[in-house]
Amino acid sequence: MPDAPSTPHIAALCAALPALRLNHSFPPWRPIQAHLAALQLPVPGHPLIQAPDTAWPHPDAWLRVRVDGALADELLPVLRPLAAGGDARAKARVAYLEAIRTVVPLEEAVWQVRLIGHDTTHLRVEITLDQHILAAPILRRTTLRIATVQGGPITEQGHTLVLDPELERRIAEAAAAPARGVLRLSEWGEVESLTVGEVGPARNGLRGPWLSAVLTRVSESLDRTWVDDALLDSASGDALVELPRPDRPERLSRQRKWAVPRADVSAVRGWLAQRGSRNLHYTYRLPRDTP
Amino acid sequence: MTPLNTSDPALQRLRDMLDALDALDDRHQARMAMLDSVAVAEQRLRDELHRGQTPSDAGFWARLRTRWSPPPTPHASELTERHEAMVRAVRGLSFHLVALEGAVDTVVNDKAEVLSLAFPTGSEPSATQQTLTDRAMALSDLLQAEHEVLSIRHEGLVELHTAAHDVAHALSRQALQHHLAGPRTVRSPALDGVVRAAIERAAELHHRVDTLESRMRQLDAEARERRVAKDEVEAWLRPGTSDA
Repeated sequence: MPDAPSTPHIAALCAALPALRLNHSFPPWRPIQAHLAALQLPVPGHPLIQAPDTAWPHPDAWLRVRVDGALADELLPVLRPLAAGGDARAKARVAYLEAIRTVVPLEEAVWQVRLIGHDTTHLRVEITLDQHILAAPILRRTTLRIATVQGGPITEQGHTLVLDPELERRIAEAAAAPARGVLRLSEWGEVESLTVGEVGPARNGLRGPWLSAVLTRVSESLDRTWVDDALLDSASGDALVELPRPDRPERLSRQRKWAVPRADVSAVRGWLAQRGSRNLHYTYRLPRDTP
Repeated sequence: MTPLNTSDPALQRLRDMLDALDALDDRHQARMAMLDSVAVAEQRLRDELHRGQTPSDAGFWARLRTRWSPPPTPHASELTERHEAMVRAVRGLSFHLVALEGAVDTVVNDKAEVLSLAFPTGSEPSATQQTLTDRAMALSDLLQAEHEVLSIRHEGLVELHTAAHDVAHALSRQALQHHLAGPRTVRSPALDGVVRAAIERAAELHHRVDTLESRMRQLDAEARERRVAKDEVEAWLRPGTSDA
C-alpha cells in the first residue's frame, strides 16, 4: 500500500513545478499547479494515495479533480437539502463539491496549429498538442514542425488551420514513441522536428519530493543520439527508449531534469552518479510545514 | 353556513396538524425527487456499462442478455475516455448513494413523527378531523413503503456501485498499461478477463435492481392520492370558506 501523501507533500510538488524551469516545449505549468493544488482538498471517503513507487499522486486522485468538478452542479442540489437538515456526511460533501467546482481542471487535449511559413506549393506549420491523460497520469506537450504540400493533410478554413483526423491520431501516437512517430509522420510531409516534453513523475527524496520532467527530441539537426534519463535502467535504457533506425537521418535526444529540495542536493547528486546520469537538477524551497 | 372561528384552539390544533402533515408530505416529495436524480445517475452508469451495444426489439431476457453480454475490449485509443466516463458515472452514483442513505434516515424520523402526531379532538368539524386522520394513516403507510423501497434500492445500488467500481478499476489498469507501454502494447487476456468478469457481475445486480422499478411506480401513484387528500383538506380550511 503506497504511503498517503500529506497536504504539505502536495504543496511541495506545487513549489517544485516552477523550479523545473519548463520552457515552451513543456505543457504550461501553472494549470498543472492549480490542478495539483486541488488535490489538497480533502475528499470525503477517499484518502489521497500515491502512485506505486513514486511520490506522484495516484491517477485516480488526478482524475477525481476533473470528474468531481464536472459533477458538482448536478450533485449540489441533491445534497444541500440533506446538509441543511444536519446530515454530517452530506455537509462534508457539499463543502468539498463547492470547493472543487471553482477549480479549473486540466483539459484532456489542447491543439494549436501555427503557420510558420508557406510558398506556392508548401505549408510549414508548428503543431502543439497538450495532453493531460490523468488515467496515467501523463502531462505532456508534443510539438511537431512539419512542411506539407498545399491542399494536403493541413487545410486552411478561414483563419484557422485544420488537421486531417488521421494526422491528428498519428501525432498523438507519436508522443509515446517519438522515433517511430517521426517515421510514420514523414509519410505526410517533411518532418523538421518532433519534441515531446513531459512533466513528472516525482520520487521520494530525503526531505521532500524530487520532481522530474523529461524532454525528448527527434530531428535531423541533432548531431548524435543521446539518452540521459536517470529513471531508465542504464543497462537497458536504450531498449526502453525506441531509437531511430540506423538507416534514418534523424537522431534522438532525451534528457531528464529534476527539482529537489535544497537540503537534498548532495543526495540527488549521489543518486545520479550511482545511476551514471548527468541529469540537470535545480532546487526549490520547501513550504514551511513540509516534514 | 357558519364561518370558521379562527381563534378556536381546537381549530388551531387542527391547523398545526395540517402543517405537520404538509411538512411530512413535502419531505416525501423531496425524497421522491432525489430518487429521480438517483435513477438518472444509475441509468448513466448502466449506459456506461453496456456502451457500444445497440438496443434490440427482442424480449426482456434476450434484451438483458444482449445488454450485458461481454462487450469487446475497447480500442486503445478510447481506453482513456471510457475509463474517465466510467469513473464519472461511478462517482456520480456514489454521491447519490450518500443522499439515499440520508433519505433513509429522514424517512425513519418521519415515520416516528407521523405516529406521534396528536390527533385533535373536540368541537372541530368531524369531516375535517376524519380526513386528517385518514391522511395521517395513509401517510404512515406510505412512509413505511417508502422506507422499504429506499432501503432495498440502496442495498441493490450499493452492490451495483461496487461492481461498477471494479469495472472502473479494471479499465484504469488497462489504460495505465497502454500508456506506460506506448504503441507496443500487447492486449492482455488477463486484464480483458477482469473487465468482462466485473461487467458480468454488474449484469446480475442490474436485474435485481430492475425488479424494484414497478414498486416505485406504485409508490408514485400512492403519493399522488395523498396529494388529492391534502387538497381536499386545504379546501376545508381556506380562509373565507365555511363549514358545511
